[in-house]
Amino acid sequence: MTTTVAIPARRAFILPDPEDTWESVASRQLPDMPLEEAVNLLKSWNIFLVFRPGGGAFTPSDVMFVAPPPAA
Amino acid sequence: MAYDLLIRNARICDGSGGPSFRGDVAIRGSRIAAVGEIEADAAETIDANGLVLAPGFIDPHTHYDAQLVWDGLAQPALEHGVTTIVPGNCSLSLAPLRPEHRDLLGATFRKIEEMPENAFNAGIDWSWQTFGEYVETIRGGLGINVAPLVGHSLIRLWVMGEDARERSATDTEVAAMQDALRECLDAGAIGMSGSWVDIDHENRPVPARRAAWEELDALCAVLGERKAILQMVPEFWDPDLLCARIDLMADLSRAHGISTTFSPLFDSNAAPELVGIALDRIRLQTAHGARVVPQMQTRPIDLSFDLGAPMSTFATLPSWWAMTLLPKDEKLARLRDPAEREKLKSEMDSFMMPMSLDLDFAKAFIKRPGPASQALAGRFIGDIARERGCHIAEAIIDIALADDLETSFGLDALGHSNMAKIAGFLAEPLIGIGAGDGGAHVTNFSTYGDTGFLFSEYVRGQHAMSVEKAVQKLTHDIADLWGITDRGLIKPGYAADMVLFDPDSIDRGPEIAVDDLPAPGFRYIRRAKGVSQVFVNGRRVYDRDDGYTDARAGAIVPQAA
Repeated sequence: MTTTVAIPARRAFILPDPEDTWESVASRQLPDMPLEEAVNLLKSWNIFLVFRPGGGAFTPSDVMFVAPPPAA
Repeated sequence: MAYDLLIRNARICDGSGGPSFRGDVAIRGSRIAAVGEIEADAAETIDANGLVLAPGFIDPHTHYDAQLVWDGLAQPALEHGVTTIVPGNCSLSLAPLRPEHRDLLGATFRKIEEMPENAFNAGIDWSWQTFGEYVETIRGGLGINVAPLVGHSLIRLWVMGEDARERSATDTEVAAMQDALRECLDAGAIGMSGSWVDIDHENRPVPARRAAWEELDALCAVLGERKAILQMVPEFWDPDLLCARIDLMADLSRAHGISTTFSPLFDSNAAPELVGIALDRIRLQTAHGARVVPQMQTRPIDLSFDLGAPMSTFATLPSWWAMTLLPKDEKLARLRDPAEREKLKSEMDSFMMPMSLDLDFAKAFIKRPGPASQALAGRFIGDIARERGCHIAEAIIDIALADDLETSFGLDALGHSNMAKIAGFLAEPLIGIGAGDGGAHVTNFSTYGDTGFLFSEYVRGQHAMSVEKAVQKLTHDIADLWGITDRGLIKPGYAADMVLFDPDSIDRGPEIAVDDLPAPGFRYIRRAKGVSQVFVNGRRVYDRDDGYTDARAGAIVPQAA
């Protein structure tokens, strides 16, 4: 993505590639973690994608968080 | 005569936010010719009697795309002082569109913008394909100015066909979309709209949501060539998602030198900290050179629903949602089926609040009773259910069935209803006024009169802003954001779009049902209070005493090259 100014995100996120799956994102973003565990963690951070109306698939324009929510 | 029209003895709020002043405004043709103390004669002179004369209000978030085909006045926008509207928001315009995609787009537009199918089909003749042809279709009958956005979903459909609903674009297709966008901008589009949220009539993401970042970035490069604006719909109910979207829009703004705006931004009890968090993020991005302007509506969120048509009220109640999509005979059968009723009851006991709304069906009331429920008008479903000893879902269903599904239920103050809090947000310079949704959701809520409500609630009621500041927020600030260079101020050389109103009484009237759709049915509107006269490009188009005139001086803004 285009980034012209480096401002830390409130919560780290990516935009998935068109061919991405939960597994491909998990292996890329959480490479040191067993894949199944990484997928589950990734899904837990993105419940809104998992349970979205209409089926749960994500699109390349979706924000996918790769970090837990900020502390309250 | 030196001038065509002279308005004397007005309290001029010129849109700049500066102090108002007593004076005269002279118009020659479609332009403001002079402002001040004017001695010359004019073909017509009006005594304003000290009423406020302001630039015509601009409504930056509407969906009048369909209505403009049969109603060039965009009623009742004009009588509320709105002289320029921006249709085509949320990735959805009605052009460019090939004949083979009309059914698909029509169903999507009707679902998202909640317009009755019979009215849409009766009013739309699909005499256009290109954006320019659509503009020419509406141009001749315009009494109001129109600054149309082209929808990203339409550009995708135009280039990719039905694949636009399925996949990302190839490099060749992205280049073709850039060319298509240039053609739309040449034909009068003021910018492009997109969405990260909307789903179509089949619960699938709208085509714009299938776009990879590189596609949106490439299209924004075209917007940058023309200094045109990008409008987006983000996940406005979640602080983390909203901040991520603000960051993305900020990146696009800086990379391409464009303004971006998103809608809506609203406050709710479910996420009371959200607006503050978003505002902090916008401040940060603004300080780093981005222009990301949220649009906030002035009114609380009040909704109506019935069981006769699909509606977003049931977005997070899947059985209710599926039921509303059925043909009427199947719907009636399902509502009478004991097993289905149990499922609907159970779902209403526990559901996720849609979009942070404070939705409690016990607080629904009979807003527009059908033939069998006249005696229940105004009563709450919770009270009726208690009296009948039934579940609230059964009360809703039984009342609707008795009325052959004609009952309209109301739900008030679902969010954005802490008026003192909203007053502070609206006074914030970084927050724009908009997100009104005029022309859409016609049987679900009245989207009209937000301008009058700004004055009655926040200027007169809460003293949260001055008349001058309110006028500035409805005129110059919006024109500046949208790159409308000759409107939004009362100033020589500017277009003579003006509204004459009484600052002590301007308001929105009560919500009423009218049957002015091009097919049997109704829509909710609000009439204006306190608006005396409205001028568009120098022509009087509305007069409080005489109603609408025959003037059709509306223009496409900006004018097509």
